Amino acid sequence: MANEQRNRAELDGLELPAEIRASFAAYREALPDPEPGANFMPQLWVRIDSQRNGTFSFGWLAKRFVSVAVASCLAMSILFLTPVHQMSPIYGATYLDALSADHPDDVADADLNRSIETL
Amino acid sequence: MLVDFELIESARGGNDAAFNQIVLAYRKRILGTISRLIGRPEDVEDVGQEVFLRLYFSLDQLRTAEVFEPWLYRLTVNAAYDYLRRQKRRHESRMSDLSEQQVIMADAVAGGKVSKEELRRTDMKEFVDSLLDSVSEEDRVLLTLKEVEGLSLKELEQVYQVNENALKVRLFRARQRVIKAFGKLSETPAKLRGVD
Repeated sequence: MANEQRNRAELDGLELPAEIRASFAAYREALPDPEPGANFMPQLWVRIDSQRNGTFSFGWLAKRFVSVAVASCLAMSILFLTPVHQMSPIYGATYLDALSADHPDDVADADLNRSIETL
Repeated sequence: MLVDFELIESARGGNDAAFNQIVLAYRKRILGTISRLIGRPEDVEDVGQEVFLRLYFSLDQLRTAEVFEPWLYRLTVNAAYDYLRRQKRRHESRMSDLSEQQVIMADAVAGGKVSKEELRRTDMKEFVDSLLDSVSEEDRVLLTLKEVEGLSLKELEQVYQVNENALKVRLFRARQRVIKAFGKLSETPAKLRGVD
């Protein structure tokens, strides 16, 4: 507690020597507020406009980029979520279909044999 | 406050004419502060425009019109920091500029164009510039705001957005360092003259 009070008093107590304070005061007097030049305002507005245009074009580009990215994401999602076998005639067929397509004569023989057996 | 709250609110709402009026009201004061913060008259307008440019694009972040002035000072301090850091990187060119200024001044003195009062003022300015150059940018800015600009602790708290104790610690350390630098700087001419 006593230490804290001492520290606080120390912080409050450190003043600059009179010489430095006088130097700072003289510095303040030697540098009065300058009058702005005639071009101050026009140049400021040129800078504001150029930054504003820059910001707009950047914003426009950013919006376009986001739109393209969202569209690509949707297209990729649709592509990957659609089952592959529905699109492919090869993988859409069953094993027997594929077999019969490859050996049509064997299938015809088998059908004939089955018909004879039933008779 | 140099302008009323309605004008600030109007500028916040995107009214360029209101913003223009605010700049017209504050530019002289801000340029004065900048000139004392950076100590380079030729770059004051450029840094001043940077301050108002930042103000224009950050007005929507201002919480209330009541804190406008500390906000503007904060932007000024930040722009001055940025400038001083850039200058530090170009220290060598700065030194050559200074010597050029000294040559011009010496010529003017030799030609009898400069009064004694003017010369004393220039010497004083150079001395304080050297003193502030010998501490960090942070100390330079804080000391200038407190000791040269005369901002109160309350105002500095708002500019730096720190509590009173933290600010006092910073100020205490900055004062210690500038006293040390003052001692060194005051010794230098005596040493050069060979006086003990």
